[in-house]
Amino acid sequence: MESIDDTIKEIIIARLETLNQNSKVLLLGEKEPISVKDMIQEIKDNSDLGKKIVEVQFAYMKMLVSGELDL
Amino acid sequence: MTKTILITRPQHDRATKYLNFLSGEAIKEIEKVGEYTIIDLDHIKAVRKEFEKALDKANPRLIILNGHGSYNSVLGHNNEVILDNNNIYKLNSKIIVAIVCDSALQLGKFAIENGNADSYIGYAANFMIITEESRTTTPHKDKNFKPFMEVYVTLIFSLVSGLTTGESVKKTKNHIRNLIKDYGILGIRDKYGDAPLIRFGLYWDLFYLKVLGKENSVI
Repeated sequence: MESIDDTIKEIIIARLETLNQNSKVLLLGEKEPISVKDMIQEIKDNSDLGKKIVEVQFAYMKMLVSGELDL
Repeated sequence: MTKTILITRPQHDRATKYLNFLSGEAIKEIEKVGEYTIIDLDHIKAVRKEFEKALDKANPRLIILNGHGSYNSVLGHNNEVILDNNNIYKLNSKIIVAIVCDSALQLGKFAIENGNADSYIGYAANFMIITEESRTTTPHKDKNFKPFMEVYVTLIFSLVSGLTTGESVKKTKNHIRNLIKDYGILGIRDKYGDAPLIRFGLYWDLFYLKVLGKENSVI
């Protein structure tokens, strides 16, 4: 996994904090959904899931900046 | 000769209920193509005995596995182990699509290396969906869930339409990109303000969708 520094983590947390904190994400294979608030906590805890969330958000931000999607 | 597709789709908890529904939609698409015999191990039929019987008697080319699992097992109804090291050899020369947690990197390698499967399509992390809390018992009415259903169905439809495993994954990824664009531009579908989260979920599925083994396999 690409090394992502704390500044990037903070940016990603700030992005997630703009979302509805009670919206639910269901990871199929897991029994129960998690909220956006839970996702932020996973990042803060530096858990495996938190690392994945940061990795994907970071890749997503890079894709947006690259203009690949032209949103 | 008609080719056979085997699908396992338990539905004993929230995650498997959504997966069961997704698979049901995929079955409708396969039926539209009309060239395949479908063995549907739905709900309580998704048990090891039925799974092995179908593999032995029908010799399916495509196997679609839905549910919980681990790096070397897939679970069926009430989490009964339906696939593990003792029957992995039955995947010999098959194409596998698995929506099983963290499946692509570990279970996929297991299926290719220990089971001699031709190809394995899955996710290197759990397949992510966004749901409406008020629609958990009625996924067909869940608007947040709809784009994720499209992703699943696109993958299966691509395979049954004759594309290779590599082409099917590529087409599915392109479809995900288009959905992300839709949710970026068309706020009209964002009734509950969940579009940014839906885009994130879609990008997660784009990021983790993988094909292992042969990328030129066709059903």
